[in-house]
Amino acid sequence: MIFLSGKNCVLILANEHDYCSYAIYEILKDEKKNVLLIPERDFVSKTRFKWKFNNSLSGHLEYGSSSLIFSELSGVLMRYIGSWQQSKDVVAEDMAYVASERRAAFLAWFQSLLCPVVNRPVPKTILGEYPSSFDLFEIINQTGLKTHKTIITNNYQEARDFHKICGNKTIYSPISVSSKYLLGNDDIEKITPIIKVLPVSLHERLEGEKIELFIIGQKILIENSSGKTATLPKNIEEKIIILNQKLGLVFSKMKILRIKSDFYCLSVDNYPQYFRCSEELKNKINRELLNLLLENGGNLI
Amino acid sequence: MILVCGALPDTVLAYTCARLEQMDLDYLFLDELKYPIGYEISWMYDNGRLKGYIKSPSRRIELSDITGAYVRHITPNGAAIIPNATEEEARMIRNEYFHALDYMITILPCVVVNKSASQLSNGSKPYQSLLISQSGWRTPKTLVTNIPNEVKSFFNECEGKIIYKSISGVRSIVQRFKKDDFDKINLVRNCVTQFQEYIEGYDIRVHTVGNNLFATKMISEATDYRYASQEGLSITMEPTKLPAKIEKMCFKLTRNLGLTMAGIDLRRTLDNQYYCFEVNPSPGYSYYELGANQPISESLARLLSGEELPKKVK
Repeated sequence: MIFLSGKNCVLILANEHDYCSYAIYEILKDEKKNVLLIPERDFVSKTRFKWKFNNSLSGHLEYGSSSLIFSELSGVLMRYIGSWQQSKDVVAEDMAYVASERRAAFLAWFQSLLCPVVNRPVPKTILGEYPSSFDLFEIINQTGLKTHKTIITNNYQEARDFHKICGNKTIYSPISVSSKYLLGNDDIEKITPIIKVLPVSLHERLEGEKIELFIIGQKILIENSSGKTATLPKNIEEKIIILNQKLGLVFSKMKILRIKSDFYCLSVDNYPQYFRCSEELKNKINRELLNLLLENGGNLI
Repeated sequence: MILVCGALPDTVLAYTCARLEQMDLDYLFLDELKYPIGYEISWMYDNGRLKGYIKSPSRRIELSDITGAYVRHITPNGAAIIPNATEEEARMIRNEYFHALDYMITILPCVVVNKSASQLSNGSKPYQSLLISQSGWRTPKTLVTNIPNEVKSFFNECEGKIIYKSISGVRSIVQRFKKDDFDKINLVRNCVTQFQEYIEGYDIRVHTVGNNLFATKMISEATDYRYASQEGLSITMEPTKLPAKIEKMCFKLTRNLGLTMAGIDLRRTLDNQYYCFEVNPSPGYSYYELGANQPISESLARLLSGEELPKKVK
């Protein structure tokens, strides 16, 4: 058994198709840091786990020949998509129960860790949906950023009136599924057969300057896909960082829309992908993530 | 106007409706065994402002008239029979309608007992226990493990007085762990399991309802008083008074968990220490009201009617 120890110990819970998981792992290995990568599919089924808490926290996790002591963790990078919550490795009548016990145990464990966790799961990410757009809307509005007008209705006339108020430019989306369709002038008629059986969600379609940005801790990195450097006023940057914190996130991607002096937050992604970004931006994101994960263990790079 | 969402076979919900009627308070009952059939729902959200309506088979109410909502969803996605739909289509329709309703409840600007998001902490007992201890409460020493030998060490550390119970929101009967149970201890390899030191004392169930608090002393020999009759044991309940500091901590905990009503499970030890085990965000309060003759439902009805607003607890 290899005991990983020291304040530079980083745990990566990796999704096997995720650029971020393996990029960070490779850099840490090159830097001769203690790092343990556990593929998501093995996280629950192949680990031995002891977690004890009362006034203090103690315990360890064993995986293969490695053992990791919780109090010596420097940081955790969580890049899961949820497959570890399932219990496909267990063939039993009570599989659903086993899966729910696992979810509940590991939600609590991640919450208890004293080191940085990128991103620390909260009940909504593990036990429910996150973020439901309306939870998100309220929090966005509280920070002073704006959100687009939205209607949810199963009344065709209400939908039609809303479409008209919005200048005949709306976005239709199902309520509980992530997809969207742009509706123009006469397109509102197209939802007639839908609204007979389902409520619909329509958002006003706003036009302005679209800005995509990554937030890592206190740092904002702006995606520069148009070749033009987008900048944000200082007070808007502060609001974005507060929003990220209020959502319990350390690492996220947001879509912001600037219309004159108003800033709209269109979406928040708590599992950001950046493999398509420029090498320069990828390196900057990796560096910021490493600084966070190693903040207890000194500088890197 | 009060909005009540759920189903009448739920005796707690039926009890609440009976109290609203007895107090002559106006309410719309959204029957989740029937919704969305015969219902119309329409609401618009514009930067913090909500407007719209719900129309049931019998009447229409404006969202702006709702003073309080009492919500006890029967299943995550409703249970109505959808005519002319396959099972998969019906599931999708129920799911969309459920979210149309639940998202609206999430942003209702009035008292809601309780919002779905605030109920999630109860889905992980150790997670909730961390939040409870962050609110200043004593909580039992806890071990979560899938390593059999660790259970043996914990058993010895707690001098053989430990219990085990489910980790998730799945209801389980709290059981004392006995020496004989070591025969099956290897089973924990299959499922990470929660063990806790056994705290001696008696149980107190507290219900916080807005600014009111009702403490009920549970007198039973059973490890889990909820199942006393299954063990052939008796249970009696009586109202009790908590120290002011503990009452204040109960209100603070309710607020910290984002709740307006909570069922808080306490145990008072022989040396007058209070431990907090769990907080139920959708408490079956009627059992305690009937057992100890405490006016919990009346307090709930007043809260929902807008007669009082929850104070902020410092």
